[in-house]
Amino acid sequence: MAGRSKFTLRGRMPFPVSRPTWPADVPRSIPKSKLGANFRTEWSRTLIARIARAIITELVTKPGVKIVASPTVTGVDRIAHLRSPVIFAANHASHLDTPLLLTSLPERFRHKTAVGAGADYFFDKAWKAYLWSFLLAAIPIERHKVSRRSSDLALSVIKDGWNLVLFPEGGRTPDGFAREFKGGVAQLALKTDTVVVPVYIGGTYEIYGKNSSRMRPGVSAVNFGHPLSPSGKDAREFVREIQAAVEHLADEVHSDYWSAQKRRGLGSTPSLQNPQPQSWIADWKRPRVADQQSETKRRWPRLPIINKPI
Amino acid sequence: MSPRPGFVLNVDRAYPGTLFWHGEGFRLEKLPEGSRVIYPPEPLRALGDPIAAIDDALDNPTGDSPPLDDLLFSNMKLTIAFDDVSLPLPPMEAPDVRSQVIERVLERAAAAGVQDVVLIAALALHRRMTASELRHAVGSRVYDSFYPQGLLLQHDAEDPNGISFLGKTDQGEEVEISKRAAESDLIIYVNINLVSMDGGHKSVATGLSSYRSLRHHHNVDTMVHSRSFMDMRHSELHSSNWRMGKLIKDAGIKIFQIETTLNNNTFPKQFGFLQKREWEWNLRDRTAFLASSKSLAVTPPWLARNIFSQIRSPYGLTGIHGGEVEAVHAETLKNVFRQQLVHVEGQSDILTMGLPFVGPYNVNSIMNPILVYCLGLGYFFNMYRNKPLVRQGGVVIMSHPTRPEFDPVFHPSYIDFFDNVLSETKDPKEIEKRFEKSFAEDPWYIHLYRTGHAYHGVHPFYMWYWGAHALDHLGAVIILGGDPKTVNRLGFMAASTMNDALAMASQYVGTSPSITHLHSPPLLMAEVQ
Repeated sequence: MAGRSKFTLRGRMPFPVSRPTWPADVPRSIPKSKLGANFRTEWSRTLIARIARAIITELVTKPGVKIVASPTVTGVDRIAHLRSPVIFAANHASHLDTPLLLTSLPERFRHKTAVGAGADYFFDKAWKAYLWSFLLAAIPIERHKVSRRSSDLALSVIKDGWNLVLFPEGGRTPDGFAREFKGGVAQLALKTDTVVVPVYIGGTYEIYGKNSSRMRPGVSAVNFGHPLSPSGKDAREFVREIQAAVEHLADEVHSDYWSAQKRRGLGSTPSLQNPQPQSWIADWKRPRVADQQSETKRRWPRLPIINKPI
Repeated sequence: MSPRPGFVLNVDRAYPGTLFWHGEGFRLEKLPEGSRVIYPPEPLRALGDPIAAIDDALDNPTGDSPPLDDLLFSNMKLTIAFDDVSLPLPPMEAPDVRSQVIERVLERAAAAGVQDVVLIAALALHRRMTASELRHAVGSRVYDSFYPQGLLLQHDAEDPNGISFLGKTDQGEEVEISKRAAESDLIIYVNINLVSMDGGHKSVATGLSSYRSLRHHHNVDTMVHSRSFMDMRHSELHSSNWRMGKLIKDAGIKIFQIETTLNNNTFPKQFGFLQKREWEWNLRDRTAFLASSKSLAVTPPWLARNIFSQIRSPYGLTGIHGGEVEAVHAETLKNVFRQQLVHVEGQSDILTMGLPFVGPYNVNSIMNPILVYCLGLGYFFNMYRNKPLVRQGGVVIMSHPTRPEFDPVFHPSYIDFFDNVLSETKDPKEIEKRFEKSFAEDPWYIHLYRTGHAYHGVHPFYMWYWGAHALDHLGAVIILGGDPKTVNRLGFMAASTMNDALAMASQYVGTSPSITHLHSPPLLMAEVQ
């Protein structure tokens, strides 16, 4: 018979080396968690943290993104005249989206932009919370319930003149198709009267999608749209406008500017959402950035086929 | 702080020296005490939101024109024409204002369901733009959508099947424009008005026309009677274009003119000293000036040209108006003069000027001797209203290396003009009479114009006519620092120093002449009382 292990199943050392467990019948006051939505991120927006982050962004993140995702960035001219603060609202398919978007931003935005990140995923452990708030200036956003703390934090970040990256879908797509945008981004824009720049990010699902076990370096596209003003709109209407703008930007990437414009004029811009859930055909037809870029990435010219008489 | 207006400075002992452009380099010259230096106004503040300004111009047109949206309908034929690479100078930082305007127009056209849209670069007889120049002008999105489909064209004034004859004006001027434009339900012209000569009816009547039509106003007689061609009230060049514009309108061709004006924020921070008055140069400016002028002095011309051709100007949009051609142009001129006009009291005996590395016809290319002549005596001399800055019989001293260098791809006919025409005569009238036709109708030049990137065979003649008014007015022209042999071929004198130039000028204007310097960059226009 095998002897009893010194370690518990969770790998912890047994009591008294490790902390005691608390008897269920004994009342206990649970200390308020300092993680999740309660994590304090002010330090990550101090000058020292910004300088350190800028160095890492420029020397590590940017070259890394270029190697892994070879981004084609377009539409920067549409935000050439914009001033901070701005909310960037993008579709979300991969963990790569955030570094890709941050490194694609014009320099005057890049180092003063915070990222809304899921409090339950990025801030559930102290090391993760510190790491992401430092590397991405991430702020915790409660995804599954309405949280006063999250919205107040986002508001204060914008009021301090910081730009904010938000993914209105609330998480990465599980299948490559976008999900319906949630209203938080519109409400925040309305509360702070801040313009929203719609952004389409393409190609990252294929590189490192939600279900990928490893990264597969490839090509990606980031397309910035015209800023959308929330003035005089209600949140529902505005979030639909943001989603339509992102879908139009996707159409631009997957076809061309004029074709996309004409489709928008006719009201036939393709949706980013899955038209036939559970069907392989929709997935088969889903446009991919790599398809658009394969021609430009060719190292060798396409040679004409010569039909010789036999 | 609001931008300071331009002014005239009287040179005294404390004056530090005047910056002269000298081609792909600079000179710092000490002008004699009592000379006048005309400084341009500082850059006007740019519009904060250019996209909103564009939308406003399209929604609230100027003059007798409905809003653009009311002119667009689903099965119409729409042609969008735009100014070519000769504007602005140097090329502006991306996004080029043309691309911003064209995109807003296209978005409205798409919303109205317009399918048949063609974009045309209004070249007139200029060279065809390269792919990268076109991309810069219209923006990557429009370029990638239209160019591969063959819907982004460059005007071909020699296409026998692509030009429509519209009729003759009451002065007998034949009017021809692009067939596609003439057959369109609407032409939208997108312009950049860098100087007051640009825009108005000249946009379509010149930009989309043919040699047969252009020759009625691009000739010696018209240019001598355009005093100056920067002042449309006294410009025969404009009168002729306005007559043609009226005929185009009477022919039923609808034009929605969109004109934009830029401030004179011409150079990026590295060349900030070019934008400042010399006595305000700080340590950084002085260091930049010394480093750039000393290094450029020992840099081979081809390399210096390459360096300068990388410059992209941080111009800011100061105004945009859309609608009926004449009403729009009137507003545009107000904006141009608001930025460029400086009041000057009286003429002088000598006018000095420094000529830069770039003019309208040598973007990404060589400033050949004929273009030096045209820039100095055509453009800079004519930057006046009322009367020239220099008196009748006075002297112009302009600074430029004037090397005998030509770009054989862009300017092939210039080489023959310099070798074969100027060796015979410098008289514009005689040149026009004896040589113009043979160059204009030369099939090889026409071939190069239509298929390559060459200026039309007749273009060097126009450059020569451009300076005809100055030649008619002046007693002598001296090129400071110019190559003597080349300068002599132009019919001028070369001087190696400013003192030499002033001594040479004394035989025409006496030993104690009044001197005025036209300070550039940036551009200015003198209102001479």
